[in-house]
Amino acid sequence: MEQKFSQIEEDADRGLIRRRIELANVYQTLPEYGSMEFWKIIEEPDIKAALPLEILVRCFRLAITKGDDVGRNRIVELIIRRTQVSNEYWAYHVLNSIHLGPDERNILVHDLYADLCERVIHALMDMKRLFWEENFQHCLQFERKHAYQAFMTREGRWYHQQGDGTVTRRIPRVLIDSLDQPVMHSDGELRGLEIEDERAQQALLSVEQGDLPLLILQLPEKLRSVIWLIFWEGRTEKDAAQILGISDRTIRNRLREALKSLRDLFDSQEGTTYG
Amino acid sequence: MDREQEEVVQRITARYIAELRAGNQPRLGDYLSRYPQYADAITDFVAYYHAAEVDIPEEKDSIPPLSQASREALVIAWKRVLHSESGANTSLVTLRVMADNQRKSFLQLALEIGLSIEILEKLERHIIDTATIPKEVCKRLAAALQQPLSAIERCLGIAEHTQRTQHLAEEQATYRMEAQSNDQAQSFRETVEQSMRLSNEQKDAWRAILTEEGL
Repeated sequence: MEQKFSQIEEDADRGLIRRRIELANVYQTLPEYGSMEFWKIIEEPDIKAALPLEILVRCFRLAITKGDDVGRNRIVELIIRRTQVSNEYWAYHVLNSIHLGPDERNILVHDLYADLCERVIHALMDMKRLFWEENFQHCLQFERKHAYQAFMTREGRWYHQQGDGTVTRRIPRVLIDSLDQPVMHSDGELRGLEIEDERAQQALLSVEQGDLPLLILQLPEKLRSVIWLIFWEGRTEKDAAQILGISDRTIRNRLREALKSLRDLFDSQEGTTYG
Repeated sequence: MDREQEEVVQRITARYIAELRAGNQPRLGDYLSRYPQYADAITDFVAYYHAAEVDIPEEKDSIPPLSQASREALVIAWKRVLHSESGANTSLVTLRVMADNQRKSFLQLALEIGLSIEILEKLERHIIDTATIPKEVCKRLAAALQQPLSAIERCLGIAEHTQRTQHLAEEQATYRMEAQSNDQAQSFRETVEQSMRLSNEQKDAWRAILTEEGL
């Protein structure tokens, strides 16, 4: 396994070096900054012939160093145009799980999209963030993650809120089934997790596997890896302990803590429904 | 997590995503074993990716005009950015960008000022304690990059450091935090001594400069 992973890393490194060389070659052959030819190439409308976004990032940074605010704004607008289809889809998509009226939804989508644009501009202006010049799409995804998490926290929207004020959580069935099973410990003893709250258990039943990542995002940070390894990748507790370099007992404690977090979610659901 | 750590996590997770998109079904556990120090951050991104990014459409064949929604978001974003930038005394210009403007590679610049590229990288990334950098470095950079000395000092964080130290004398708690972070930074002298790429002659020259400047 270790050997296979090293091979993957080597392949990735080779790919990255190739990519860097390609990008450097493209950048070096650009016409003089600000010339008509330069802008013609920068604003090429055909995606297949257009410059990679990574090159646009370098040009944006070059515009800043030259104090060319007009050129800087022009390049940012182009970057936003090049990514607006995915960004707009993303803003609607991530808020889709929240039950909202159309007007409220439009306002929140608008806010979220503006947050993202702000984050992107800040990132592009930070010249030490060199990975933007190598892998734009991945950096953009990271920025979308930050924007989404900050937005949901700020707006207090981590739960699925319905029109009548109730809050529901849909928890993956596989997670619940697994939590209900007794687990063999390193000491050979079988112990099961207790689900004390019947209503919590009921809520846990309406679930889908695809919801697991979203659920994990809402758990405290230290619990996420354990839940992912066991319930998404199907690892044993022992495997998970080995991977994370922690004891079986700690794994078990974190599982219990995760379940407690789920119960807390259900408690808040009840409070909202009947309170 | 600071910017540099986040960039490391970005590079790691980019591999995971590349594998995923190639249809290889990567196992997060492999990545967590390899990079346990970043386990939480890697899981955070991967969970987010599966929750929110997998179905997002890619660019179309032709670049569309700026949509109304994008225009509005962009206007708001610029207002906020310019507002925050006007309040912050930050330098946007790096040595690398200045070198680019002079059509010099980083290696060329390093050779020109009598340093090795790895030391130049460290200066660029502000991981050398600014109080230990000789004035001679700034002078040589200013000459090679055709920039005023103050611009080079700002770029290296030297001006910022001086200003902060004066101001922080009034705020002991913050000053302590600053002192702690400086403890972790390497001195210029140590960096020179440890360099594998500087020749003995170059090292001797820098030692003399450091002594002359009382560093």
